[in-house]
Amino acid sequence: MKTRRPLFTAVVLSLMVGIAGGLAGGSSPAHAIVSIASSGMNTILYAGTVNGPPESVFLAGLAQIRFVVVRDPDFGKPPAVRLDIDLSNVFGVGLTTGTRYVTSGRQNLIRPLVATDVVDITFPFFPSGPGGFALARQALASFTVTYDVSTGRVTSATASTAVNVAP
Amino acid sequence: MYLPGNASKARLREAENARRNRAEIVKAWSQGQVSRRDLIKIGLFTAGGALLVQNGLSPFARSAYASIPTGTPSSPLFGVQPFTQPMPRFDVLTRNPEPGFLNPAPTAEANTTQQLLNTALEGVRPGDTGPIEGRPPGPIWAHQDFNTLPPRIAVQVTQEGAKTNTTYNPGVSSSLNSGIDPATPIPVRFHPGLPIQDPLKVWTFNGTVPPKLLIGRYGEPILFRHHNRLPFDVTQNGGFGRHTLTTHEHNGHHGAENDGFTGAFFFPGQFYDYHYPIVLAGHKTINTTATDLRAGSPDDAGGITKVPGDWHETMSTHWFHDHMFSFTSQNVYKGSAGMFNIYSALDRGNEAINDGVNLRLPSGTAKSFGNLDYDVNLMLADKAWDANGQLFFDIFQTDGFLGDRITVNSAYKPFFEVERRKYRFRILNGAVARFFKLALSDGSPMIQIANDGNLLPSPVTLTQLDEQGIAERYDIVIDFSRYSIGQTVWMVNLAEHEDGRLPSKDLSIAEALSGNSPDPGVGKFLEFRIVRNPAQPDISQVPAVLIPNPDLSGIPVVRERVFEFGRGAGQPNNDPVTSAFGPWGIKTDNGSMLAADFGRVSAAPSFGKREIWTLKNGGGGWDHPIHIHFEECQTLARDGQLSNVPAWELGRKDVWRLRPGGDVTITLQFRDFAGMFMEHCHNTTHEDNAMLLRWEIDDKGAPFVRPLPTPIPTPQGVRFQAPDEILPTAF
Repeated sequence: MKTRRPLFTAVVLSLMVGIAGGLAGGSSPAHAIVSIASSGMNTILYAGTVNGPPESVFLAGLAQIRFVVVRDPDFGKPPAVRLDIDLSNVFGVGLTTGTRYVTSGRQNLIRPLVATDVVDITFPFFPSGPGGFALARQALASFTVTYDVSTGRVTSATASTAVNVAP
Repeated sequence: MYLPGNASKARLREAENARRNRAEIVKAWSQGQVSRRDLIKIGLFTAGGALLVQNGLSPFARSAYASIPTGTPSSPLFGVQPFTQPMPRFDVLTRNPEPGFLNPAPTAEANTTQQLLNTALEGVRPGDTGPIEGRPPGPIWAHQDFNTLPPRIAVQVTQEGAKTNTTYNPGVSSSLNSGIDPATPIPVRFHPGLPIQDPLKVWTFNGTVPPKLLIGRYGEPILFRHHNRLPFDVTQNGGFGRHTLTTHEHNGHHGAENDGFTGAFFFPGQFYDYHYPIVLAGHKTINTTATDLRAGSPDDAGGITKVPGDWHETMSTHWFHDHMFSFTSQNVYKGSAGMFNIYSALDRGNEAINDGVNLRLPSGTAKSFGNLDYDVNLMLADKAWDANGQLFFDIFQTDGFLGDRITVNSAYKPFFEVERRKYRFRILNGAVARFFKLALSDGSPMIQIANDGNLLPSPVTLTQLDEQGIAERYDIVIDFSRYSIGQTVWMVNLAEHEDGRLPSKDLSIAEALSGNSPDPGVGKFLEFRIVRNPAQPDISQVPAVLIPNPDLSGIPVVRERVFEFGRGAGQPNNDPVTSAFGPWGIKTDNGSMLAADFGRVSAAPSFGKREIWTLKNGGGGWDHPIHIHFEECQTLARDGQLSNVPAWELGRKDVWRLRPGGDVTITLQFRDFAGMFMEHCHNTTHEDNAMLLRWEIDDKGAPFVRPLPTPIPTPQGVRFQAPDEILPTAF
């Protein structure tokens, strides 16, 4: 009998979320390309615990979100946002063994410019050290990014939740 | 871009009528009966390249019923369900020893032996003769280093209309090919429940499916003889596609005569000999005495044959496809695409040999090199078909043609049986305009080991791959040992399109699986069935260090160039053969935005030197996967900063998605070979309409001259003419 794997075991975890430095880097005028409305970078404190075998892992660190709002003057389509979400400065500790974990999560995404965008991404984490990447597990991070649609600039960004992904 | 399945009958009828009407125009244009200029004159085509918005005619018309741009009805499935057919592995091309196999024997210069021409060919009168080989004649187009690197393997292929495959060679046992019996004839169809394709609708290598896999190894030159057996009559094309061919080995480090230059096409009844020396770049200047064991080729006994060159330039995953000027999208879509695995001392295709050089990537153990057991080629492509189930294409979709049915290895949404162990997948985006963004349905990690033809400096663990533009290749390793026998997991596409210009939204896995996307190309498209434990323990590895980049720091940069890719291109030239017309174009060094002309020299870097090129996207409403032929490049920056270059792009590449409003800075050398090459958008719709330029290395010395004469092929032979234009910053 065929058994289908569950997609996501949605275990919502206790989480500490904050914005370090607010709109770090801020929204700045873009370089000279006319299609870019604004660009900037946010740094978000991200922390949470991912449960599951072989051990639960506490993850914490700074998630960096770089955004570029692009216009389409040629076709007049609504603006879009290029997001570069980098979780490589999020680290973990195994709650049973004390093993140090690292992540390699970085995502380049294109999203429509809307007032509030909830962006869910999966990312891998794995034991630090040689060969650790082969033991990668996955987690889900959810970011809520709000924009001033009229100016095309980010007004806030938060990591709103984190869930396990099925082991 | 497709009408929903529940569209009203009137809406579907109108859309189908529009499709038929414009199909007639497509047919006339693709068969050479009218030109784009003719269509403009009679008021059916705009100077910008789009078919005029006329109800019942234009794919872009906002019809009374269709709110979706093309308004094309969905491709009917005839009751077929997804994941009900096995995914076929590629069909391995036979390698024959050379010299002695090919008749006539290959020659350094093109074989101009005359043959009587078929009068169905355009411009041919009774009694006309022409050369048997379509390669431009003379020393400039002679195979470079043919005497020092003579062919040792011959591979002979045809291009012809769809026919049943009775010689399928998957290179693995049936148990590793989801139970497919290779002795069972395979007709050309996307699923056993779908109609067999008409020979005029599908043109593939050898006329058959699955797509073909070429196997090569360093130090063993291949002579790839390509016979054009397409219809002599240009009108016999099933409504789209051009019967002239030029085959690009993407991204071979070969002389330009073997590169599939867009203007070096050959006619039905001819062949073209492509000589692939398969050398490490820099083989004339680095490690010339072949003393480094890492610069090597697998021998037949598990050892290494050392070769000259820089081992850091080792390449692994190529593909080959048609590059016919203005018709690449149609011909590739019709089936002119295959893959090419190149094996080396480092990437041996044998996971057992433990000699300190072999990286032991997932592959197999039975053969000294090139084991395919756990090394699987995947060619992804979106297709569309008409009410009769026959392949459909619309060349007037100048934004980029999108299909609504995802195929893998020419099979509609198949399944693939796997063992509980590591597999390497060499994934090619073989679409016309669709980007993919891949994940496993449960978010499980994958390890990306290569980008384009090149193993990365270090593997990158990801749960969602980056967007994958057309022609990009991502090699990944998936470890299925995390699953239990009987479980199933799917490969999922997260990139949602509204049109062919770029993805409109990258979805989360949950969004992509929800079934709510209006893009039928989103969601599951390949089912992995975990069927058994491996018979032998999995001894394959993914080392922490793969292939570091070549160190270019000691090589001075002699020149910087800027190429901007955008719309509103002009065409100052009127040559009916060399110049194209379309909305897309390229601006070189802040000059004018120009439509393609393969008679124009846009850049001529100096032989043996290094340059820095910046590739800029001139707009925010589109993306372009830009391909540079011949040399692998290192990415120095995105949007001006190295920190914007993700880990999976830190190796060498040959295709870059510029991203909307973005730019990429790269560096490349020009070594070993010379001739005329290309740079273009690999959204082949954009390429054909007319985002392509010619650059050349012409200062290597005799027989090359500056500038190089432009080849003008005819059935009676290739003539040459002076370049139409040389841009002021070219030299």
